Amino acid sequence: MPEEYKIITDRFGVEGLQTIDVYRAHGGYTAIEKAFGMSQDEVIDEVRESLLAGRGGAWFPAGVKWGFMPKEPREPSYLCVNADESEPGTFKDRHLMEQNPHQMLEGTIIASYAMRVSVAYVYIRGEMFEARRIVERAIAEARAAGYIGRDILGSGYDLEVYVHPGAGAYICGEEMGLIQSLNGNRAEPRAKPPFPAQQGVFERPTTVNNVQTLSYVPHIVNRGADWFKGIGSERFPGTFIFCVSGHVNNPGMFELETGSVTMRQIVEDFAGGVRDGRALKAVIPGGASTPPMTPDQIDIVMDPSNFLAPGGGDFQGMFGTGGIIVMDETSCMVDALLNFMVFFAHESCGQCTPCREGCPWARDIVWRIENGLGKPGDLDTLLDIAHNVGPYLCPPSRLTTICGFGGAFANPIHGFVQTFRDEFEAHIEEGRKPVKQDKSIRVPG
Amino acid sequence: MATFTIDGSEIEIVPGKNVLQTAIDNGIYVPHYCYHPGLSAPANCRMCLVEMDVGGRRSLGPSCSAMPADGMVVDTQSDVVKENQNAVMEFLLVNHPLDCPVCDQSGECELQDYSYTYGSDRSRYHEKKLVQPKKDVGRHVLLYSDRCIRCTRCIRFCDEISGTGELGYFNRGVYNEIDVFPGARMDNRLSGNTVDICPVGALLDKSFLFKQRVWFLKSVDTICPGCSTGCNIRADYNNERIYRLVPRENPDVNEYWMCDDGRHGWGYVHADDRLLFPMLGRGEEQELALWDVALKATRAGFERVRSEYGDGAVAGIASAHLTNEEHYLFGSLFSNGLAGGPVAVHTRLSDEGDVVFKGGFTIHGDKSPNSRGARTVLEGLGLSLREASEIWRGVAEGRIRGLYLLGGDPLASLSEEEQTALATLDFLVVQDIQTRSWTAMADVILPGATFIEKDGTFTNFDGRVQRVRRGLAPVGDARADWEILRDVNREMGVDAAHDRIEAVMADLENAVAAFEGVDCDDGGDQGKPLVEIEAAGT
Repeated sequence: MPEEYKIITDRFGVEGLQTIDVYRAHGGYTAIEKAFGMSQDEVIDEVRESLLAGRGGAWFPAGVKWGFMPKEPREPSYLCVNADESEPGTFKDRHLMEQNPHQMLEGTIIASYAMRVSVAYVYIRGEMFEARRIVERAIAEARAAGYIGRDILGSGYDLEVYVHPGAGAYICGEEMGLIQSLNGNRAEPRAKPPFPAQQGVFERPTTVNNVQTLSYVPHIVNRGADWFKGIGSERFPGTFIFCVSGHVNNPGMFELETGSVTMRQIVEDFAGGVRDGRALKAVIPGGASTPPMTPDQIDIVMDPSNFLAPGGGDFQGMFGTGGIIVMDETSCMVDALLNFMVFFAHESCGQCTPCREGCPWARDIVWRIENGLGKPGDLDTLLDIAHNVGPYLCPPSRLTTICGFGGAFANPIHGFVQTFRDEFEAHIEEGRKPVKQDKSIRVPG
Repeated sequence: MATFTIDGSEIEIVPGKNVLQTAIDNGIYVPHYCYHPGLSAPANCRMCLVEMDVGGRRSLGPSCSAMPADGMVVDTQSDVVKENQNAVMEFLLVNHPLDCPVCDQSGECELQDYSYTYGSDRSRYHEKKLVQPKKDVGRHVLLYSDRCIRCTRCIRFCDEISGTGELGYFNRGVYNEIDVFPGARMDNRLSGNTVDICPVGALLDKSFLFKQRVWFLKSVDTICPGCSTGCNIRADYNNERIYRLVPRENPDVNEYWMCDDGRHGWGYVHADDRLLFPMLGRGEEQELALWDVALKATRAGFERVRSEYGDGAVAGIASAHLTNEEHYLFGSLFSNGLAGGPVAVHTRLSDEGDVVFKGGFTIHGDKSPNSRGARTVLEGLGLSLREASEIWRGVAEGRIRGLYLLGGDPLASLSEEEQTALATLDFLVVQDIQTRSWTAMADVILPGATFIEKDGTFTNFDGRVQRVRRGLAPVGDARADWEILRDVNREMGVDAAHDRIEAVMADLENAVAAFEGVDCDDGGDQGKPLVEIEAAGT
């Protein structure tokens, strides 16, 4: 059985790691000193060289993204730490902040220095009270220690870091939605271009990075790009945190090398297999917006390059955010889809017509089917709605909405209805559930 | 020259002009809701999506926010584009009520029109429709939220053009609603424009609500007489009454907008106190008269005063509410039949001065539509204009014994001193549209016409000559003021052979240097600029 490869979760569980003293005792804030000894461009080159890719789900190379920022900023520019983790099934960023806030903060400061930004905002999801409290305390400690503020470590570089709590909206995790929210507007994503690196927060150059992405940065600076490239797969090196929830014996987070394990190994070996010896019915690979996988598909090696999105791989599915939701044979797929559709209809910002009207329409149809009121033709309508927002797993250039939310709610419709069409049809024809559900919640230990 | 291709035709790129507008300007229509040429483009309705190919990368994107690039290939007719237009129409109608039979917008509704062109003839929606409330959002405007398609044009108008920001977007997803912010009312003076730019029947004008189906309305393109801005408007009328005034596009004057003062300022046209017939005599002895009789009395009165007190004893006060052509005839009268009498122009100024809005739209403090034209024409005819106060002083001091007073201003007022002075005159002719406190002092009352009842041109504050057109016949026995002035000229022995307004225009263009080459009749039709009046004329 493969082992976990812990880089960013390595010190999890160390008592007092949230405090700067313990973090430093475990080698913390050494990378910042090394980075400040390098030029800004050297830091960006190191990160670009490491092939570190954005862990928010898009897997865009972080070093390339940093390179879009102005080299000689004539106006203030900004870094936003995207800590608005809201994808159902995903809980990695929350733990990275709650358990090792200084690691993220050190990465933030190094990234800020490399991009010459003057202010970094940590945009934390509104519901994460604990993470917010911990990060705010870490910022205060780092400021007292001279890592934040004026003339950091005598380098002449000034940086302020602020926490900005969101008010709890899924769409605030979208890059432009986050920027709009930070600007004090409704979190309505706007069309790109202009890209954030041209016009972002307060209409100034801005980069948005995920918490997990930034957490790798101190390690890459300390140990070098070659070390990082040697871990995991060739195209998307490093590790990834998989968050397993649902009908498994041992739910939790597992930091694994990319391209090193199969989905089956994650479910069976790391997460302890399906509970109560039941049969596996479906696995959602990376959060609610990724279409489900069936048991015969889970021998795929978990690397973004094997999935159509984002890697262009052979498997017609999405890698997603690592939020793995395991469903056993007692799960009703109509009920599961309804659950997601209620979520998406609630979270759509309502800006674009197809998403605003399509989400609740799809939700209502699935609700009818689930409650025995389905009609012949419902499934075709449902698939049409999804298709009209975005054809199955289509690239952004084919979406009819401004942001990816359209695809995020269309893909599970396509996936669930196509994969489990028999079950949906049985609901419609018989007006009842063919599956005996077990919706009990059990807390391990 | 950078070019790009739309549906196979090569088109030159106009810097700053988006793909959608470029296509429309070149005769290729792209349907759209949220885009309005006078506002920013949020690209949220998704109706204007077209396929764009830049450097071999083909994508479906909003043509309203996309700027053309050299070599770009745009396809507005592909299957993908049409499929999307059909889908967006279906999505928009999901929660839209089918209340067209009672909706004011019906007949000029983009949702209706696009449904025919791009939509389906049946619905697949079997769920419960979301019903949003009706709201009273401002003095002039109602918001029927259930009809709203959330294009946000109205919000952007209040943010970007009026700069008043009363409207906001509340709640989220399909539950989001347009509304005024708590405690606010959309009472800004441009609020009526939100009704015009609303592509559906969500924003409604209270004064037009349930008044008329739009397909019964007849229209005439004319100019708002409310101030010297000279907004290009369309007057919609039927059954001998105006139903509404709406702005026409003119980038050099009012862009796409007009103010509420002008929009709702036409009530006087149908007021009960309109002057309907010529009248003779003073005070309670005033009697209705035929035009011939009134014109003869006018001549007799002026001749008597002139022979008794001299040519300088008959004065004229022109009105900046009348047209260039009317001033030409008035000027011709005082150059010939009544030569030697002092002439002034009455202009009404408001105390607030010019009101400038965030987007640049200006309500001018000069409440007369033709102040500049009146001066230009009269001075162009060689008359030396006096201050109105000078004439009033002359009347009060008894030097002026006869007066020809032109009106036409619905809100005209005279001070107590001026009214007292009027009573001392030997002979007073009032040519006006409504009964005033001083009309009883007139020896002859000549009933004139409002802007919608006559032809002519106004010259706005900027020196732009714009066409005013007749939609309704003058009330009662009233006549267009230019016809009255022509007849007074003839009566006084001045050669005035103008049987049509075009003849007056032609003479005006010949006689007044500033109007030379200005095609009064045919210039302002589509809001196109006329030749500016030369400084020499002013």
